[in-house]
Amino acid sequence: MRTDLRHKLAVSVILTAIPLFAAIITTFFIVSNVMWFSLLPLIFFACAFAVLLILGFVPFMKDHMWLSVIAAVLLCALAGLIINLVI
Amino acid sequence: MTVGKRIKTAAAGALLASLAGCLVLLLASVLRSITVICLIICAVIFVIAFVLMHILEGKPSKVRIPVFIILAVIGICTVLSITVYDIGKKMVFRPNFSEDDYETLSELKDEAVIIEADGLSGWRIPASAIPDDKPRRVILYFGGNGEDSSRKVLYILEHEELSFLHNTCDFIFIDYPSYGNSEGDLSEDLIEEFAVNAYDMVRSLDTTSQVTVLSYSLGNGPAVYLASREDADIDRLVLLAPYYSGYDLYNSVLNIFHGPLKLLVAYKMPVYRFAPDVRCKVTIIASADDEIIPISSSRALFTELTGSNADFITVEETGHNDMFEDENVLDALAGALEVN
Repeated sequence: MRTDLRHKLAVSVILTAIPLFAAIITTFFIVSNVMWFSLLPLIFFACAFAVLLILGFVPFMKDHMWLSVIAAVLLCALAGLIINLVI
Repeated sequence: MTVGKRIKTAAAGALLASLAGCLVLLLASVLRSITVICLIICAVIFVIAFVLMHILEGKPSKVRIPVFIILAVIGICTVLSITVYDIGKKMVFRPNFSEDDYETLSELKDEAVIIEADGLSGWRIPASAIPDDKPRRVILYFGGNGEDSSRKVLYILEHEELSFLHNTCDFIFIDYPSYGNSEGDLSEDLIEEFAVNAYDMVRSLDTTSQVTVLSYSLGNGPAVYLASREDADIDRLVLLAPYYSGYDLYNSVLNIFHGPLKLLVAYKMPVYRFAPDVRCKVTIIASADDEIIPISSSRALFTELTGSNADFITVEETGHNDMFEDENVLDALAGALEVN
Protein backbone atom coordinates (compact mmCIF):
# COMPACT_ATOMS: atom_id res chain seq x y z
CA MET A 1 0.00 0.00 0.00
CA ARG A 2 2.83 2.36 0.98
CA THR A 3 4.72 1.53 -2.23
CA ASP A 4 1.54 2.23 -4.21
CA LEU A 5 1.11 5.63 -2.57
CA ARG A 6 4.79 6.43 -3.09
CA HIS A 7 4.46 5.54 -6.77
CA LYS A 8 1.42 7.81 -7.19
CA LEU A 9 3.19 10.66 -5.45
CA ALA A 10 6.29 10.19 -7.61
CA VAL A 11 4.28 10.24 -10.86
CA SER A 12 2.35 13.32 -9.70
CA VAL A 13 5.57 15.12 -8.76
CA ILE A 14 7.13 14.37 -12.15
CA LEU A 15 3.97 15.50 -13.97
CA THR A 16 4.12 18.74 -11.99
CA ALA A 17 7.84 19.23 -12.43
CA ILE A 18 7.80 18.94 -16.24
CA PRO A 19 5.69 22.08 -16.97
CA LEU A 20 7.51 23.99 -14.24
CA PHE A 21 10.86 23.04 -15.76
CA ALA A 22 9.64 24.09 -19.23
CA ALA A 23 8.48 27.44 -17.83
CA ILE A 24 11.79 28.00 -16.07
CA ILE A 25 13.84 27.22 -19.19
CA THR A 26 11.67 29.67 -21.16
CA THR A 27 12.06 32.33 -18.46
CA PHE A 28 15.83 32.05 -18.41
CA PHE A 29 16.00 31.97 -22.20
CA ILE A 30 13.89 35.13 -22.64
CA VAL A 31 15.16 37.15 -19.70
CA SER A 32 18.86 36.48 -19.96
CA ASN A 33 21.10 37.65 -22.75
CA VAL A 34 24.14 35.84 -21.33
CA MET A 35 24.51 32.37 -22.82
CA TRP A 36 25.66 30.48 -19.71
CA PHE A 37 22.92 32.06 -17.61
CA SER A 38 20.13 31.15 -20.02
CA LEU A 39 21.38 27.56 -19.92
CA LEU A 40 21.45 27.50 -16.11
CA PRO A 41 18.42 25.15 -15.68
CA LEU A 42 20.04 22.66 -18.04
CA ILE A 43 23.43 23.06 -16.33
CA PHE A 44 21.82 22.33 -12.95
CA PHE A 45 20.03 19.33 -14.45
CA ALA A 46 23.14 17.91 -16.14
CA CYS A 47 25.30 18.27 -13.01
CA ALA A 48 22.69 16.75 -10.70
CA PHE A 49 21.96 13.93 -13.15
CA ALA A 50 25.65 13.01 -13.50
CA VAL A 51 26.23 13.01 -9.74
CA LEU A 52 23.05 11.03 -8.97
CA LEU A 53 23.85 8.50 -11.67
CA ILE A 54 27.34 7.92 -10.25
CA LEU A 55 25.97 7.68 -6.70
CA GLY A 56 23.46 5.13 -7.99
CA PHE A 57 26.36 2.70 -8.40
CA VAL A 58 28.06 3.45 -5.04
CA PRO A 59 27.43 0.77 -2.36
CA PHE A 60 25.11 1.98 0.43
CA MET A 61 24.07 5.07 -1.58
CA LYS A 62 22.48 2.94 -4.31
CA ASP A 63 20.05 1.60 -1.69
CA HIS A 64 19.34 5.08 -0.29
CA MET A 65 18.84 7.14 -3.45
CA TRP A 66 16.35 9.40 -1.70
CA LEU A 67 19.26 10.67 0.43
CA SER A 68 21.21 11.59 -2.72
CA VAL A 69 18.15 13.29 -4.24
CA ILE A 70 17.56 15.39 -1.10
CA ALA A 71 21.26 16.34 -1.04
CA ALA A 72 21.16 17.29 -4.74
CA VAL A 73 18.02 19.41 -4.22
CA LEU A 74 19.60 21.26 -1.30
CA LEU A 75 22.90 21.79 -3.13
CA CYS A 76 21.16 23.18 -6.23
CA ALA A 77 19.03 25.47 -4.05
CA LEU A 78 22.21 26.70 -2.36
CA ALA A 79 23.85 27.23 -5.76
CA GLY A 80 20.80 29.24 -6.89
CA LEU A 81 21.03 31.39 -3.78
CA ILE A 82 24.76 32.01 -4.25
CA ILE A 83 24.33 32.90 -7.94
CA ASN A 84 21.56 35.32 -6.98
CA LEU A 85 23.83 37.00 -4.43
CA VAL A 86 26.78 37.19 -6.84
CA ILE A 87 25.02 38.59 -9.96
CA MET B 1 17.69 -1.61 -8.19
CA THR B 2 18.15 -2.16 -11.93
CA VAL B 3 20.28 0.10 -14.11
CA GLY B 4 17.17 1.43 -15.88
CA LYS B 5 15.56 2.31 -12.59
CA ARG B 6 18.74 4.01 -11.37
CA ILE B 7 18.80 6.18 -14.51
CA LYS B 8 15.11 7.05 -14.05
CA THR B 9 15.65 7.95 -10.39
CA ALA B 10 18.73 10.02 -11.25
CA ALA B 11 16.78 11.89 -13.98
CA ALA B 12 13.82 12.57 -11.71
CA GLY B 13 16.11 13.63 -8.86
CA ALA B 14 18.09 15.90 -11.21
CA LEU B 15 14.84 17.46 -12.44
CA LEU B 16 13.80 18.26 -8.87
CA ALA B 17 17.28 19.53 -7.97
CA SER B 18 17.40 21.77 -11.04
CA LEU B 19 13.95 23.10 -10.22
CA ALA B 20 14.99 23.83 -6.66
CA GLY B 21 18.07 25.76 -7.80
CA CYS B 22 16.20 27.81 -10.40
CA LEU B 23 13.22 28.50 -8.13
CA VAL B 24 15.46 29.84 -5.37
CA LEU B 25 17.13 32.06 -7.96
CA LEU B 26 13.83 33.30 -9.43
CA LEU B 27 12.05 33.78 -6.09
CA ALA B 28 14.76 36.23 -5.07
CA SER B 29 14.44 38.33 -8.24
CA VAL B 30 11.91 40.65 -9.90
CA LEU B 31 10.28 37.52 -11.33
CA ARG B 32 9.03 36.48 -7.89
CA SER B 33 5.34 37.15 -8.67
CA ILE B 34 5.27 35.01 -11.81
CA THR B 35 7.29 32.28 -10.07
CA VAL B 36 4.72 32.12 -7.26
CA ILE B 37 1.85 32.00 -9.79
CA CYS B 38 3.57 29.13 -11.64
CA LEU B 39 4.09 27.28 -8.36
CA ILE B 40 0.38 27.62 -7.51
CA ILE B 41 -0.61 26.30 -10.96
CA CYS B 42 1.81 23.41 -10.54
CA ALA B 43 0.30 22.61 -7.14
CA VAL B 44 -3.10 22.39 -8.87
CA ILE B 45 -1.60 20.11 -11.55
CA PHE B 46 -0.12 17.95 -8.77
CA VAL B 47 -3.52 17.55 -7.08
CA ILE B 48 -5.24 16.74 -10.40
CA ALA B 49 -2.54 14.18 -11.25
CA PHE B 50 -2.81 12.56 -7.83
CA VAL B 51 -6.62 12.36 -8.01
CA LEU B 52 -6.44 10.95 -11.56
CA MET B 53 -4.01 8.29 -10.33
CA HIS B 54 -6.67 7.14 -7.90
CA ILE B 55 -9.52 7.32 -10.41
CA LEU B 56 -7.60 5.46 -13.12
CA GLU B 57 -6.29 2.80 -10.71
CA GLY B 58 -6.67 -0.61 -12.30
CA LYS B 59 -7.37 0.81 -15.76
CA PRO B 60 -5.18 -0.47 -18.63
CA SER B 61 -2.03 1.45 -19.65
CA LYS B 62 -3.57 2.45 -23.00
CA VAL B 63 -6.10 4.53 -21.03
CA ARG B 64 -3.80 5.85 -18.29
CA ILE B 65 -0.83 6.92 -20.41
CA PRO B 66 -2.78 9.16 -22.87
CA VAL B 67 -4.57 10.84 -19.94
CA PHE B 68 -1.28 11.70 -18.28
CA ILE B 69 0.25 12.87 -21.56
CA ILE B 70 -2.75 15.19 -22.08
CA LEU B 71 -2.42 16.45 -18.50
CA ALA B 72 1.31 17.12 -19.00
CA VAL B 73 0.67 18.97 -22.30
CA ILE B 74 -2.12 21.10 -20.76
CA GLY B 75 0.14 21.82 -17.79
CA ILE B 76 3.05 22.87 -20.02
CA CYS B 77 0.83 25.07 -22.23
CA THR B 78 -0.82 26.78 -19.24
CA VAL B 79 2.36 27.49 -17.32
CA LEU B 80 4.28 28.56 -20.44
CA SER B 81 1.49 30.90 -21.60
CA ILE B 82 1.29 32.65 -18.24
CA THR B 83 5.08 32.87 -18.01
CA VAL B 84 5.51 34.35 -21.51
CA TYR B 85 2.63 36.83 -20.96
CA ASP B 86 4.04 38.09 -17.67
CA ILE B 87 7.70 38.15 -18.70
CA GLY B 88 6.78 39.98 -21.91
CA LYS B 89 5.25 42.76 -19.85
CA LYS B 90 8.34 42.93 -17.65
CA MET B 91 10.58 43.06 -20.73
CA VAL B 92 8.60 45.98 -22.20
CA PHE B 93 8.36 48.06 -19.03
CA ARG B 94 11.59 48.23 -17.06
CA PRO B 95 11.09 50.92 -14.43
CA ASN B 96 14.26 52.44 -13.08
CA PHE B 97 15.42 55.46 -11.15
CA SER B 98 18.96 56.89 -11.22
CA GLU B 99 19.11 58.37 -7.73
CA ASP B 100 22.67 59.64 -8.15
CA ASP B 101 21.75 61.52 -11.33
CA TYR B 102 18.65 62.89 -9.58
CA GLU B 103 20.84 64.26 -6.78
CA THR B 104 23.31 65.75 -9.27
CA LEU B 105 20.50 67.46 -11.20
CA SER B 106 18.95 68.77 -7.99
CA GLU B 107 22.19 70.64 -7.26
CA LEU B 108 22.27 72.30 -10.71
CA LYS B 109 19.20 74.48 -9.87
CA ASP B 110 18.87 76.73 -12.97
CA GLU B 111 19.90 74.29 -15.67
CA ALA B 112 17.14 71.79 -14.91
CA VAL B 113 13.98 72.10 -12.83
CA ILE B 114 11.66 69.44 -11.48
CA ILE B 115 8.18 69.32 -13.01
CA GLU B 116 5.46 67.52 -11.01
CA ALA B 117 1.67 67.04 -11.10
CA ASP B 118 -0.86 64.32 -10.25
CA GLY B 119 1.74 61.78 -9.15
CA LEU B 120 3.89 62.29 -12.25
CA SER B 121 7.36 63.72 -12.04
CA GLY B 122 10.09 64.66 -14.47
CA TRP B 123 12.63 67.29 -15.48
CA ARG B 124 12.48 70.42 -17.59
CA ILE B 125 15.52 72.02 -19.18
CA PRO B 126 14.56 75.66 -19.75
CA ALA B 127 15.58 77.14 -23.10
CA SER B 128 19.00 78.71 -22.56
CA ALA B 129 18.61 81.44 -25.22
CA ILE B 130 15.17 82.69 -24.16
CA PRO B 131 14.40 84.80 -21.07
CA ASP B 132 12.56 82.85 -18.37
CA ASP B 133 9.22 84.66 -18.70
CA LYS B 134 9.00 84.62 -22.53
CA PRO B 135 6.90 82.07 -24.42
CA ARG B 136 8.81 79.30 -26.12
CA ARG B 137 8.33 76.00 -27.91
CA VAL B 138 8.49 72.88 -25.73
CA ILE B 139 9.93 69.54 -26.81
CA LEU B 140 7.98 66.87 -24.91
CA TYR B 141 10.06 63.70 -24.87
CA PHE B 142 8.71 60.16 -24.53
CA GLY B 143 11.64 57.91 -23.71
CA GLY B 144 12.57 54.29 -24.24
CA ASN B 145 11.75 51.51 -21.79
CA GLY B 146 15.12 51.70 -20.04
CA GLU B 147 15.27 55.49 -19.71
CA ASP B 148 14.43 57.62 -16.71
CA SER B 149 14.27 61.40 -16.81
CA SER B 150 17.14 62.08 -14.39
CA ARG B 151 19.72 60.11 -16.35
CA LYS B 152 18.54 61.35 -19.74
CA VAL B 153 18.37 65.01 -18.77
CA LEU B 154 21.80 64.91 -17.12
CA TYR B 155 23.18 63.18 -20.23
CA ILE B 156 21.74 65.92 -22.45
CA LEU B 157 23.19 68.67 -20.25
CA GLU B 158 26.60 67.02 -20.22
CA HIS B 159 26.82 66.66 -24.01
CA GLU B 160 27.34 69.81 -26.01
CA GLU B 161 26.26 68.12 -29.24
CA LEU B 162 22.75 67.70 -27.73
CA SER B 163 22.43 71.37 -26.72
CA PHE B 164 20.19 71.99 -29.75
CA LEU B 165 17.44 70.24 -27.73
CA HIS B 166 17.33 73.11 -25.21
CA ASN B 167 18.78 76.23 -26.86
CA THR B 168 15.65 77.82 -28.25
CA CYS B 169 13.03 75.55 -26.69
CA ASP B 170 12.34 73.84 -23.39
CA PHE B 171 13.05 70.14 -23.16
CA ILE B 172 10.69 68.20 -20.91
CA PHE B 173 10.93 64.54 -19.99
CA ILE B 174 8.27 63.24 -17.60
CA ASP B 175 8.83 59.76 -16.21
CA TYR B 176 6.33 57.03 -17.02
CA PRO B 177 4.36 55.82 -13.99
CA SER B 178 6.61 53.67 -11.75
CA TYR B 179 9.73 55.14 -13.40
CA GLY B 180 11.81 57.75 -11.54
CA ASN B 181 9.65 59.55 -8.99
CA SER B 182 6.40 59.02 -10.92
CA GLU B 183 3.76 56.92 -9.20
CA GLY B 184 1.26 54.42 -10.54
CA ASP B 185 1.15 51.27 -12.63
CA LEU B 186 1.94 50.70 -16.29
CA SER B 187 -0.05 48.95 -18.96
CA GLU B 188 -1.03 49.65 -22.56
CA ASP B 189 -4.06 51.73 -21.52
CA LEU B 190 -2.27 53.49 -18.70
CA ILE B 191 0.65 54.56 -20.89
CA GLU B 192 -1.85 56.20 -23.28
CA GLU B 193 -3.46 57.97 -20.32
CA PHE B 194 0.01 59.02 -19.21
CA ALA B 195 0.70 60.62 -22.62
CA VAL B 196 -2.41 62.81 -22.28
CA ASN B 197 -1.53 63.77 -18.69
CA ALA B 198 2.05 64.64 -19.68
CA TYR B 199 0.72 66.83 -22.52
CA ASP B 200 -1.66 68.58 -20.10
CA MET B 201 1.25 69.24 -17.72
CA VAL B 202 3.23 70.86 -20.53
CA ARG B 203 0.26 72.89 -21.73
CA SER B 204 -0.42 74.13 -18.21
CA LEU B 205 2.94 75.93 -18.14
CA ASP B 206 2.51 79.69 -18.73
CA THR B 207 5.47 79.90 -21.09
CA THR B 208 4.45 77.08 -23.47
CA SER B 209 3.66 78.41 -26.94
CA GLN B 210 3.94 75.26 -29.07
CA VAL B 211 4.43 71.59 -28.28
CA THR B 212 6.71 69.36 -30.33
CA VAL B 213 6.68 65.68 -29.45
CA LEU B 214 9.93 63.73 -29.69
CA SER B 215 9.81 60.01 -28.96
CA TYR B 216 12.22 57.13 -28.92
CA SER B 217 11.60 53.38 -29.01
CA LEU B 218 8.82 52.43 -26.55
CA GLY B 219 7.79 56.10 -26.31
CA ASN B 220 6.64 56.11 -29.93
CA GLY B 221 3.41 54.32 -29.01
CA PRO B 222 2.12 56.93 -26.54
CA ALA B 223 3.56 59.73 -28.72
CA VAL B 224 1.63 58.71 -31.86
CA TYR B 225 -1.48 58.06 -29.74
CA LEU B 226 -1.24 61.60 -28.33
CA ALA B 227 -0.66 63.16 -31.75
CA SER B 228 -3.70 61.30 -33.14
CA ARG B 229 -6.05 62.88 -30.60
CA GLU B 230 -8.11 65.80 -31.83
CA ASP B 231 -7.76 67.68 -28.55
CA ALA B 232 -3.94 67.64 -28.69
CA ASP B 233 -2.40 70.65 -30.44
CA ILE B 234 1.01 69.42 -31.54
CA ASP B 235 3.06 71.27 -34.14
CA ARG B 236 5.32 68.38 -35.14
CA LEU B 237 6.12 64.82 -34.24
CA VAL B 238 9.61 63.33 -34.47
CA LEU B 239 9.79 59.55 -34.08
CA LEU B 240 13.12 57.86 -33.40
CA ALA B 241 13.07 54.12 -34.16
CA PRO B 242 9.27 53.76 -34.12
CA TYR B 243 7.40 50.46 -34.30
CA TYR B 244 4.27 49.41 -36.18
CA SER B 245 2.75 47.61 -33.19
CA GLY B 246 3.71 45.95 -29.93
CA TYR B 247 3.85 42.58 -31.72
CA ASP B 248 6.96 43.78 -33.56
CA LEU B 249 8.70 44.49 -30.23
CA TYR B 250 7.95 40.97 -29.06
CA ASN B 251 8.91 39.34 -32.35
CA SER B 252 12.26 41.13 -32.36
CA VAL B 253 13.12 39.20 -29.17
CA LEU B 254 11.48 35.89 -30.07
CA ASN B 255 9.82 35.56 -33.46
CA ILE B 256 6.89 33.36 -32.44
CA PHE B 257 4.08 35.85 -31.82
CA HIS B 258 1.95 35.14 -34.88
CA GLY B 259 -1.55 33.68 -35.22
CA PRO B 260 -3.00 32.42 -31.92
CA LEU B 261 0.29 33.13 -30.09
CA LYS B 262 -0.54 36.84 -30.47
CA LEU B 263 -2.83 36.30 -27.48
CA LEU B 264 0.30 36.02 -25.32
CA VAL B 265 1.32 39.60 -26.10
CA ALA B 266 0.55 41.87 -23.13
CA TYR B 267 1.61 45.12 -24.86
CA LYS B 268 -0.16 45.13 -28.21
CA MET B 269 0.01 48.92 -28.76
CA PRO B 270 -1.50 49.22 -32.26
CA VAL B 271 0.45 52.34 -33.30
CA TYR B 272 -0.64 51.74 -36.93
CA ARG B 273 -4.26 52.37 -35.91
CA PHE B 274 -3.46 55.82 -34.47
CA ALA B 275 -1.16 56.85 -37.34
CA PRO B 276 -3.83 57.76 -39.96
CA ASP B 277 -5.36 60.27 -37.50
CA VAL B 278 -2.11 62.22 -37.05
CA ARG B 279 -2.42 65.60 -38.77
CA CYS B 280 0.81 67.40 -37.82
CA LYS B 281 4.13 67.15 -39.65
CA VAL B 282 5.91 63.87 -38.87
CA THR B 283 9.55 62.84 -39.27
CA ILE B 284 10.63 59.26 -38.76
CA ILE B 285 14.31 58.54 -38.15
CA ALA B 286 15.18 54.84 -38.27
CA SER B 287 18.36 52.84 -38.55
CA ALA B 288 18.85 50.08 -41.11
CA ASP B 289 20.95 48.31 -38.45
CA ASP B 290 18.54 48.61 -35.53
CA GLU B 291 18.68 45.26 -33.75
CA ILE B 292 15.62 45.86 -31.53
CA ILE B 293 13.09 47.50 -33.85
CA PRO B 294 13.59 46.39 -37.45
CA ILE B 295 13.48 49.19 -40.00
CA SER B 296 10.70 47.31 -41.80
CA SER B 297 8.46 47.96 -38.79
CA SER B 298 9.24 51.72 -38.94
CA ARG B 299 8.61 51.73 -42.70
CA ALA B 300 5.29 49.95 -42.24
CA LEU B 301 4.23 52.66 -39.78
CA PHE B 302 5.34 55.35 -42.24
CA THR B 303 2.90 53.99 -44.85
CA GLU B 304 0.06 54.38 -42.33
CA LEU B 305 0.71 58.11 -41.81
CA THR B 306 -1.74 58.96 -44.57
CA GLY B 307 -3.20 62.10 -42.97
CA SER B 308 0.04 63.98 -42.43
CA ASN B 309 3.06 65.34 -44.22
CA ALA B 310 5.60 62.67 -43.27
CA ASP B 311 9.32 62.22 -43.95
CA PHE B 312 11.36 59.08 -43.50
CA ILE B 313 15.08 59.38 -42.79
CA THR B 314 17.24 56.27 -42.85
CA VAL B 315 20.58 56.13 -41.08
CA GLU B 316 23.13 53.33 -41.40
CA GLU B 317 25.29 51.41 -38.93
CA THR B 318 23.57 52.71 -35.82
CA GLY B 319 22.39 50.32 -33.14
CA HIS B 320 19.13 50.86 -31.28
CA ASN B 321 20.84 52.07 -28.11
CA ASP B 322 23.31 54.31 -29.93
CA MET B 323 20.78 56.68 -31.47
CA PHE B 324 21.69 59.68 -29.30
CA GLU B 325 25.41 59.17 -29.84
CA ASP B 326 25.39 58.98 -33.62
CA GLU B 327 26.29 62.17 -35.48
CA ASN B 328 24.03 61.38 -38.45
CA VAL B 329 21.04 60.78 -36.18
CA LEU B 330 21.68 64.03 -34.28
CA ASP B 331 21.96 66.00 -37.54
CA ALA B 332 18.71 64.47 -38.76
CA LEU B 333 17.09 65.13 -35.40
CA ALA B 334 18.14 68.79 -35.34
CA GLY B 335 16.82 69.19 -38.89
CA ALA B 336 13.52 67.50 -38.07
CA LEU B 337 13.01 69.60 -34.94
CA GLU B 338 13.98 72.74 -36.93
CA VAL B 339 15.95 74.13 -34.02
CA ASN B 340 19.08 75.24 -35.92
